[in-house]
Formats: sequence, C-alpha cells, structure tokens
Amino acid sequence: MVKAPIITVVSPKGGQGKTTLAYELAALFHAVLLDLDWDLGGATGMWGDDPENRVRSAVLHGLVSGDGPLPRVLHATGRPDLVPSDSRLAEISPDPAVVTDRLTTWASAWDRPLVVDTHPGTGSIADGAMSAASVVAVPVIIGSRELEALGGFLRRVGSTGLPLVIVPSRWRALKSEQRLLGMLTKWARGSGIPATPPVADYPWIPRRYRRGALVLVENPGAEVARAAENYRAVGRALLDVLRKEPDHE
Amino acid sequence: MNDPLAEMEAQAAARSGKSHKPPKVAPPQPRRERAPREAKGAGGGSRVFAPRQARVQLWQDQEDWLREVVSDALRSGVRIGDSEVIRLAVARLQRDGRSWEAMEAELLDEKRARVDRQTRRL
Repeated sequence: MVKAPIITVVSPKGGQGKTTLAYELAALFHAVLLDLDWDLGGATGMWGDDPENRVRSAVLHGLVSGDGPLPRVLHATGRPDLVPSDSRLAEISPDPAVVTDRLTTWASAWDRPLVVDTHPGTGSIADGAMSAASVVAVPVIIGSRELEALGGFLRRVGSTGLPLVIVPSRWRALKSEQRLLGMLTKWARGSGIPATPPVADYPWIPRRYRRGALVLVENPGAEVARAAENYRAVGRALLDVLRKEPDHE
Repeated sequence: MNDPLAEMEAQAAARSGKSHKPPKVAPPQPRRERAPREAKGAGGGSRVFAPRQARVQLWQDQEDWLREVVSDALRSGVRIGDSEVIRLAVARLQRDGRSWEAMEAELLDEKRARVDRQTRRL
C-alpha cells in the first residue's frame, strides 16, 4: 500500500506565512491539518478552536509516550479538518524518532494526507515532523534578512537529504524582491532544492477570512480567486515534487 | 488510499474554482446617482449612519461572533451594511432559539469561567 503523504511546513523565522500556507494546503488536498505550533495566533486559533478547555490531549500524550489513542479530528464547513494544538507542547521536548513514528502512524490510520504546521525554528518536534515528511515546505519572505535565516537553516538541515521545497511567501513584486527572487531561484536550481511559484502578500486575509480557507470559498470574488490560485499553484508544485519521491516511483 | 497523489490531485481539481455553483444573488445593480449637495438642504442633509458615539461597544467575543456572521454572509455573496449585520445576527439568534441578552449572558459566564480557570492555575 502506498503511504499517505505527509507535508510538513517549517520556517526558520516567524511571520513567513507558514500557518496560512499549511491551512490552505490542508483544505486544498482534503488533508488533516495537525497543528504543532503552540503559540497563540496559529492554525488552531484561526480555525476557531480553544484548546484551553481540554484537560487531556491525545497529541501531547502520543508525542511523549509514543502510544495512546488516535487524536480527534475537528470538522467544520469551509475550514480544513484540524487536530488542534496544545500550549503544553512548549514544555515538552520529545524524542524526534517518537514524533516521526506517531505522525506516520496517525497519517496511515486516518488514511488521508497529513499537513503538519510547526513552531517557527527547529526543535525536537519540528525535527521529528521533518523526518516523517514526504515533502518539507519552507515558506520564506523574499527579503535579505529572511534569506539569511533561510541560508542558516539550509546549512543545518540541507545536507540531511530532506525533501525540501522553498515557497516564496508574501510576495509584493517589488524591484528589490524581484532581484532577490531571481537569485534565490537560480541558487535553488543549482542546489537541487526546488522552489514553487510565489504566494503574493494578502494583508486582508486574516481580517476578512479569519476562519475559512480561501481555496474553499464558494463564488469567490476576483481578489479571493487570485489568492486561492496562488495556493493552488503551490499545491501543484508540491504534487510534482511528491511524484518524484522514491516512495511514489 | 490506492494512489494518494491521484486522490490529492482530484481533491485539488475539485477546488479549482471552475466547478463552482452560479451565484445565488442577483448581479450588483449600477449605483444610483447621488443628489447634489445643495438639494439636501441646509447643513448638508440628514446623516445616513448613526454617529460614532452612539454605536454599541462590543466585547471581543461578540465582535468575533459578528465577524463570523458577516463572513458567512459575504461568502454567500450578500452585500451588507451595518444594519444588515444586526439583522442577520438577530435572525441567526432567533433561528437558534436564543436572544441577544441570552448570548451576552452566556459569553459573560464563559469569560468568568475562563478567568476562574486561569486564576486556579496560578
């Protein structure tokens, strides 16, 4: 049986459009979105869930102990199916191998693609989630400091053979950005790390579509249709990468 | 899942925006021409909207809830102003068999419970 793909979204810095990307990809592929970002303002809050009310957490239990029940998946119209985050994830430092094992087990039990949103930067949870991934999407703003951070991140993890894909994010089509994007694309091609088409900057998304995924909006206006098409183009590029993965050949 | 990638592709295609249902609302009509300022009489004419000071102050939860009502309405293609938001909000409450006051009380209880929980934790 071909295993259900796992798409892990990581970024070396915060504010790179990581959560929005994970949210849209999960909705696009009818995947389960597993939110492993413990900070407020993540996918769980965006979805409208309040994990503060829960005493037990199957995610927390699973990542610490390596067993336990399958986490419950929340459903709502216009939003991706979600396994919410837990603020206590900040307090644990599980073995990355256990994280990898849990994510693989859950994805095959759900028999659906899994999109994992992680906390910015690396750590044992992000490391485990990257090891489990069929593809690791790395959204990055095309700015000099962001690319510097990306360079540092790639120096740390680039040699480990992870299936990385760069997603240029919050693109404003400025002249300076165009120059940097050209450099990045050229560099990515040379280093064998593919880059997807850029996702434009849509500052109105959190305000107007706080909970809904753009790719699921029915009868979208021109602006929403344009933004949703950006995420679809990224989705197509990721599918191309997944097709070339050894598991699928 | 036989071929997960084929399935993902099919899911993405289903959300390609090409198979969307036709809009449920009539297409927007051209705007009516504005009456010239002098035709409104002295003082620039009557105000359409209530002055800012008279607006109801909402709690964050209420604002979130209203925003959800509005985004639902926007998603279904309804073009709305302030009074329409209130009408939709009240209609939704009535449909759920609730009143504005009951919703306020419920939110207040929830808020109190949350504060209690947080205080207990400290």
